[in-house]
Amino acid sequence: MPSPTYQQYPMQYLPYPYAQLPMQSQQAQPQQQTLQSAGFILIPSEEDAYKYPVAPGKCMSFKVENEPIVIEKSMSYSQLETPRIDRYRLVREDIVDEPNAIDAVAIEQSHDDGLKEELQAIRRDLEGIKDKLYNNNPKPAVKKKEDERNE
Amino acid sequence: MNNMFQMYQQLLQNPMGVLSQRFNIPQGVDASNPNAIIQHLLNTNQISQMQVNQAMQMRNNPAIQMLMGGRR
Repeated sequence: MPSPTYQQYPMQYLPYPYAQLPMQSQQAQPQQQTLQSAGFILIPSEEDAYKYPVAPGKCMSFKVENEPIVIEKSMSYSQLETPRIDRYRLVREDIVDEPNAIDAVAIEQSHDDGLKEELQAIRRDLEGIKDKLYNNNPKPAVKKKEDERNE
Repeated sequence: MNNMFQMYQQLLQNPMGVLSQRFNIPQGVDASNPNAIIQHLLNTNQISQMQVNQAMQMRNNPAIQMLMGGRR
């Protein structure tokens, strides 16, 4: 039969190192919370980004709700300068793969094609007007010279 | 007790004056514009950007807006 003191010894000794482990994990949690970055700040409208106070030497990024717009506001360390505001428009890339989706690039190209056609039509009209003018009044500069001689 | 009452009366009569004196806000800052006051406090390192973010997040919270009576 082993003595009762020998059996109780490890039971009293072992809990000591394990007792501190949960305390350490509880202390580490608030430190992780303070290290969280702000990321994008959601704002209801663009005007809110322009009004948003930013500390000197800081840069804040804003995402406008329900609109594909990102605004970056940065303040330099010198407080005399006005804040720099950059506005970006986001373009969805996954929308190209969808069969019935509207492709933004195709729209831009079609706008360019439409503008080219309109310009060509205007050029044609101008040429037609020029032709009509010269056919009705041929050589207007020569007429002036003849008028001067007659005078 | 009298001092507390006087402070309360001053706060009721001229709230922005009392707050400007408390946080050393100069007269050049537009006291009617909360964002201008916050910007001044940021510039003078009286508050941090994190505190501003938290405050703005609370202000944009619909539940808090309801408590404030729909004021923004």
